[in-house]
Amino acid sequence: MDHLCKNSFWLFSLNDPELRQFYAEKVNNNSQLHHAIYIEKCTRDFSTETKEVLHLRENSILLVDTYLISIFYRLSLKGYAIIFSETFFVSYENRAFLKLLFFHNQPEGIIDMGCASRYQKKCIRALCREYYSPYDDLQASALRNLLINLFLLSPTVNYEGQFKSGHFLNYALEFTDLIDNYAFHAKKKSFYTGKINITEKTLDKSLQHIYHKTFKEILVNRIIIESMRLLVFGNESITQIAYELGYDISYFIKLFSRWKGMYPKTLRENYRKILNEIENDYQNSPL
Amino acid sequence: MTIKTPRYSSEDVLNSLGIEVNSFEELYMQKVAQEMIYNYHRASFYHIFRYQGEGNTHYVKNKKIKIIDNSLLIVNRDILQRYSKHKCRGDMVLFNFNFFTSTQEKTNFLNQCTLFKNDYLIIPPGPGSFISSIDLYFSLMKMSIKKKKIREVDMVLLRNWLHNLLIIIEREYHRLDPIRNSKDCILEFKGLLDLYYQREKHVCFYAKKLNISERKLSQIVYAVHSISAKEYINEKILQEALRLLKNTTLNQGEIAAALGLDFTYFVKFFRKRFNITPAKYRQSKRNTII
Repeated sequence: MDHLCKNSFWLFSLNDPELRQFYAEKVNNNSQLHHAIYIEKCTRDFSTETKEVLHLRENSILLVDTYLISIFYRLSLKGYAIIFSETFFVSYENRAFLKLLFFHNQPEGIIDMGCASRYQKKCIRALCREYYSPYDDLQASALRNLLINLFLLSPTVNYEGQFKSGHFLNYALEFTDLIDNYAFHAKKKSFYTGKINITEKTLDKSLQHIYHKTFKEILVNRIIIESMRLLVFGNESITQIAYELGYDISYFIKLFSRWKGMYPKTLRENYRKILNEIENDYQNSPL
Repeated sequence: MTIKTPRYSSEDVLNSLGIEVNSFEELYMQKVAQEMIYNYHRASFYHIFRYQGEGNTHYVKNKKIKIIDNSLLIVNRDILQRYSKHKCRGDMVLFNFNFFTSTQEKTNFLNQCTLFKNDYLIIPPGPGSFISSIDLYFSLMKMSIKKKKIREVDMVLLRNWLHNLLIIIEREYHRLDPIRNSKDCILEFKGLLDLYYQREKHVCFYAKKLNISERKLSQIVYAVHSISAKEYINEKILQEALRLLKNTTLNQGEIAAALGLDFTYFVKFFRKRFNITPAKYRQSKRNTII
């Protein structure tokens, strides 16, 4: 299944065993990949980083942000997972579109795009057909267009602000790019305003106008996602994780329990248990 | 005194969006169409016609074109054309430059699109997958445009559907008869080679850039020059080497670097083709120049 569009776009059928491997290797290990999941039929549930298991509905589309960890229960699912990196959405307008999509709709990074309409299903079929046809220079554009249209067709997704342009948008996008990389080392506003060369007031305004969020909310959100990923899929001790995230260990434990409602250790144990369960399940009946 | 043929801009004819997706039936019902389409005119927008049934015709530059069932006719903008008085069946997409070129990516695509390098093109009915893809994009475009209120979102949707429609047609066009458009290919290949010969020496690079397979590229080059594509590339490099040796004072290492070759390889390569070493060649040229 090696059809790559410059190493940034993959399409898997949901009952493809390679998908599990792919998730283990790439998605859960801090590569910046988004995934859109179209669920045609399902018999069990899919869990991402939230405590609650996401209840899947048949004939629905989910869009998951980068960095979020995903755990698939072994399920009998029929559908497709479309995985793509941010660089796939190459042009500036498209990247802005993607970022805004996430920030406007669901802070937790998962957008339930609702029921797949007839046209969205056609889109997905066209995506599959395009993906499996022989590679040429035009394939990336074709796939990109289909993917964008797939998202745009969702009635439940809120598109307000998708087409804003101007200084605020530039600052807001630069800011989220910086946050992705520096949230752990730099927790002060002054760092970011220095990098972007704007005043704190402008930064506040941009974030409020574009994302309707404050600086602290965005910063903390990023840290939470990363801490989850390190806890569940990383092997370091909690002390080390706290250090990597830029916190003193005792402070980190206090913060974490305030965010998530349980101690890091407990959460880690819980998730590890789930992962083991899945692994055993998979070993026992590897189909 | 000659009467000037009318030239319609897209504002005269298309709706304010810059794009229309209509069936022929709908076109015939439009008042503005009834007045103009049966006489020769120029329209400054692009046309993609899809015909169904038999007996369909169109006139481009005084030439009558017969189009069979399920084929496409693509007419470039500002081309002298008129519609047939005989009613045709099918549908069409008409769009202007401004509608499509909202981003750099789309602008580049339209400028390089081979479908609009000629006055008109006929795409005969291809394999079932091609026909069903065309069907799909036409229906998707109709869905997006037939709304009471067209929002910014719908414009983006339309643009993307149109882009993909053009991609599909372009692919089919290339697949059909590459020898037919081999002249463009050869010219483009030579142009690309001029730009990239120092860095890219593999046939696959140029084939990918031209959107054809390596085999086809070699076939086309062979048809014109009686050597394969790889040989042509090598020849180009060596001709450049000759020029540099003869006319400049760069030493051999610098010449090899300028051509993107390793020095020892360059000497071997040169000698294999010309039977003398570069140094000797240079000397011989120096001696003859008085």
